[in-house]
Amino acid sequence: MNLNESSVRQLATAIRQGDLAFQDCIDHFASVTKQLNPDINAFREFKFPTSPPAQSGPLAGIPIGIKDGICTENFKTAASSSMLAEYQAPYNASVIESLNAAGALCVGKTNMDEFAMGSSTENSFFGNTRNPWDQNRVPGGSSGGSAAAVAAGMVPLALGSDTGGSIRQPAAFCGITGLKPTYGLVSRLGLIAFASSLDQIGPMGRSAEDVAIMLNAIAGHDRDDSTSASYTPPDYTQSLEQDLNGIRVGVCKNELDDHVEPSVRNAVAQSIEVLKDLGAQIVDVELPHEKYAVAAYYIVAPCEASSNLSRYDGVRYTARSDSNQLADMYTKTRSQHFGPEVKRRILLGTYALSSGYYDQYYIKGSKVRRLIKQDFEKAFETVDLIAGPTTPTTAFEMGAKTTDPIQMYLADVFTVSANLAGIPAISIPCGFADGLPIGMQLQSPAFHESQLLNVAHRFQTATDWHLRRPNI
Amino acid sequence: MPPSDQFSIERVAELARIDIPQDESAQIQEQISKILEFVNVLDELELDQVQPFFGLDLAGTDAKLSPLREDSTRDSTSRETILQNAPKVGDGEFYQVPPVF
Repeated sequence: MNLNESSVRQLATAIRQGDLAFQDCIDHFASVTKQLNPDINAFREFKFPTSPPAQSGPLAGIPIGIKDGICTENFKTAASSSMLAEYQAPYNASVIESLNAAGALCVGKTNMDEFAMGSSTENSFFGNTRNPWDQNRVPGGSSGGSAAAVAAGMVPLALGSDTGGSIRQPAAFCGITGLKPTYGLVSRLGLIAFASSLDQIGPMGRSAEDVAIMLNAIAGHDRDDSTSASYTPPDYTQSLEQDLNGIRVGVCKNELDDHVEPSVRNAVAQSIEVLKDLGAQIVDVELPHEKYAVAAYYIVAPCEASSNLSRYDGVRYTARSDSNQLADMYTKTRSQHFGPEVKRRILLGTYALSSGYYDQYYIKGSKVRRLIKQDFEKAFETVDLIAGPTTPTTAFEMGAKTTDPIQMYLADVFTVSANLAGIPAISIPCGFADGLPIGMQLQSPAFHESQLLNVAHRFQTATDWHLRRPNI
Repeated sequence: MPPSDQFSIERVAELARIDIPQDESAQIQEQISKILEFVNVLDELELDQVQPFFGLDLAGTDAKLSPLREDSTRDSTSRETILQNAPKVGDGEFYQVPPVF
């Protein structure tokens, strides 16, 4: 059995049936990680267990990488920040408990942009993560470590979080499959908060089937997360094979297309033809407010971030800079331990929320969210899902966008809308340009993950982009 | 929206309790002013009649908002565990901070 090429279902089945020794599976991924992590820096910290007790469940024996912004008892949880470098979470996030219950082994914490703020994993206190397809390029972000770990074959699955594209954009850049679930489908208890009305934890893996198996483990109501929806999720693996005859796929043409590199545009157009060959009906749709999404996002997200990150004041969370006066201690701690992008967003959010500006910024941004949500509702009257590029470009070179925040923000131009509207979206590999992966995004109405995964899976039975591996 | 030149880095930094070194101040001021200019594109939109959306609206879906949970007691994380992350602890029982004045 070639463990590098096996799906999660194949691995779990082989372990369950005794064809693959539990420890051999762990040792394989441990060995890949030990070999590649010094170059790729996907994991901030990892520890593959030796002779753990036998597990049972759908993910029994499957090693999983956990984004460093998700609280774990077995590893520190630093959110890639100097502020939390020594932070030991007092409890597991609910998703970690769910993965443990499904038999999975959480083997380490993956690198990310500090507090999930960034699109390249260049804002980490623990150094850059490299893209396994080209080590001079970024893996995307903020879940860049999770995406790179899966792409490099260090783990078959990883958890990410997505506030404006942080699962889907790195999935696209690293040639893997990543799903941002509907807001409220997956518990956020134990996710270090960035922008609470946008944050969502989700699965990252090589294929839609792998992602569906992981989503089965983590979806569902959590009484300890008040934004968790009372909803009984279906078995997401059950509908994967459904045929696509008559399914209506929306394609949106607007001025954002001008941002898209021709190679990306061509790959997505060809992939939409593949969906058509599979029986889908292609329908033009309009999302007239999509072009305002990045602007609305960069009001709403920094406002919520400035509020959420006010808790890091040197009193409760490990880091403190010395001072003999309280207010000065707050300021010194925050100045010393937050990185530049986090500071920029806190300052922006603090300004936008300051006296006299709340209506003009946060409320205005939230009104535009309503318009974006209404655009989707209207489009979904005539289509089942919407297809397009995940990102305007393939992975860019390290350092290319670090001096111009707005250029960096525009990497999220196609992904932020789903967070603003609270709907699910998936990125799947759909082609290559100059050896770099390209991602196609599918978006659907809230709680229609089954359909997204069905279409993604059928696409992956007709194409082999998701099976390609970087040469490392 | 107010013009972005009203953005004063000194005032906001004080509110955010972040100290900006003198030599970085101009660059950060410029970056944030550019971001504010960028987001001011929203002024093109007519928004008077639009209700803000804050991220949770389950109308039209099969899901419901969390109902109130049963009012029962459960064990919670111990003080000792929580205080393990404190930079400084007084008498093993409370967060210790420098004097307020």
